Amino acid sequence: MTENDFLRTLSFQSAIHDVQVYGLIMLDANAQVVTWNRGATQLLGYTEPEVLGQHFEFIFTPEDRAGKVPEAEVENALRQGYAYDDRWHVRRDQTRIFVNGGLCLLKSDAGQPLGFVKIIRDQTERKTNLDKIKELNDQLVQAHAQLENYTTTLEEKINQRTHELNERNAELQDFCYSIAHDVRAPLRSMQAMSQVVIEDYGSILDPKGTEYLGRIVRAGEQLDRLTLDLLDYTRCSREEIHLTSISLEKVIDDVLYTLGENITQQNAIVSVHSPLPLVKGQHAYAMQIFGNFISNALKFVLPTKKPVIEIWAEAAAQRVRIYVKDNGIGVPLEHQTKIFFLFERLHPQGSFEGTGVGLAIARKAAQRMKGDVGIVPGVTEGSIFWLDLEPAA
Amino acid sequence: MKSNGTILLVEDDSTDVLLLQRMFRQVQITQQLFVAVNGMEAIDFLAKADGAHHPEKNPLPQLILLDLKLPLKSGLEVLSWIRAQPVVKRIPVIVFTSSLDRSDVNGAYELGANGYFLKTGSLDKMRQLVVLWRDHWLVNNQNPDLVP
Repeated sequence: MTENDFLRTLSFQSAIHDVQVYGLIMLDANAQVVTWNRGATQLLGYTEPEVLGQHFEFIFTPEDRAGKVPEAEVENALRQGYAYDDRWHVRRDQTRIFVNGGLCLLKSDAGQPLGFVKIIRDQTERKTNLDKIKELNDQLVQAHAQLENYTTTLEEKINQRTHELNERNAELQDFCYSIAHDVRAPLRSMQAMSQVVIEDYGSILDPKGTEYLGRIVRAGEQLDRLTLDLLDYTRCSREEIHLTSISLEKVIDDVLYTLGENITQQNAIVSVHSPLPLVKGQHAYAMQIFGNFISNALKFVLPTKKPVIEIWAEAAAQRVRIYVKDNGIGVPLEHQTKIFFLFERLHPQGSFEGTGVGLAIARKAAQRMKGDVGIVPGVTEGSIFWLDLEPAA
Repeated sequence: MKSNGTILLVEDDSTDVLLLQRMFRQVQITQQLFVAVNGMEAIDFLAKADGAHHPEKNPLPQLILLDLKLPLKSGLEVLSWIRAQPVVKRIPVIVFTSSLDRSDVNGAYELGANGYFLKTGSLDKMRQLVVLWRDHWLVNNQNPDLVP
């Protein structure tokens, strides 16, 4: 029996021959086609008679043939018993098919190589899909990278804009500051010269003339208060601030000392619930805020009432809230937010003094100290203002 | 009251000059008042004033009133120049300004100002200040020698 006869007589020959989907090609020791089943015909288009005796390299692509891939596959199979084959092959009609399979060595009982079985399966669709997935994935990776790039650019842009905005803001505040400052000089002159006229020429003016000049002086005083408040406000916004541990006791003491004259004049009762805690802030800013709360309490009270002011603190883990309660005219609910913004006055010029800047300064000062100010809602008699600050570390 | 001394007022605002002159008269300050209307003029004045050779013609002032916001050279620059001079540096300098800037207040004291007072629109308050200066610097104060 020749070797080929031996191979032909393998018991499952016919079964193999009829297998579809799987291409099974038997090769002799020289890698020439001995059998070619239906599956192989289905996959590659050749019929058995066409290819019998041909070296199996004809199913490889020209590139692979040039790259000695068929030879390498045979060598691998000889060396390892099996060589994997996952690659594009060429059909009879020159179209390509991606197969997955291998080349299996057949040996005699003595270990002599007899031939090979080439097994192939059509994986073109899977390969195409995989390639598509890979392509999509690559696109996704690329898109992601691009997105990241955009994000970075956007962040850079935002940073730049923020920087520009801060600069503009600082410029604007500088502008506001110098305006307020420069307005004061001629204003002072007007005030002072009106008084000079009253002093030096009062005797030749009739009472009406003196009264009119007095109006100029008072208007000047008011404008000066306003510009001073605006200066305070802009200074609060633009000054560098260093937060340290400050004593609220000391802050309140200093404020009460500054307002001492008004407190005595109005027979005001101020009670402080000591001890007040240490907080993170800046002494002058805290004074600004409480000075404002307390002078408001003294200012916005009916003339028939004796001002009663109460100050206490509530400490929590994240913040300390300090309350200033008064028995003044109160703030209507609908105005309770508004009053913390610039130039919001609730009372007509003349009924109560004030420029409408004080609470805006307080708010700004609180924000600069990483805190906030507010008013307790729903209080019917007087008002309760509060300041939140971080507790001292 | 001694009347042989002089005062140098460094001030560019003519109304402020007028008001101070009027007030000095009112509170009987007899020292002669010289006015420099900018920083350069103040430095020139002090550089030419010669305490050593012609104290009568070109006297060094016994007190300087200094505005801060001045043309050509700012008040702080003038102050810094004054404190760097051999004899002139002894002269008491009172800053009289409308600047509330803490940096101005601190800067003035760092450079050796002897006082820092804010301008006000109230004649009464201004008069109180002038009286205060008079009593402190012109009456009670022991003045330094203004010769080398």
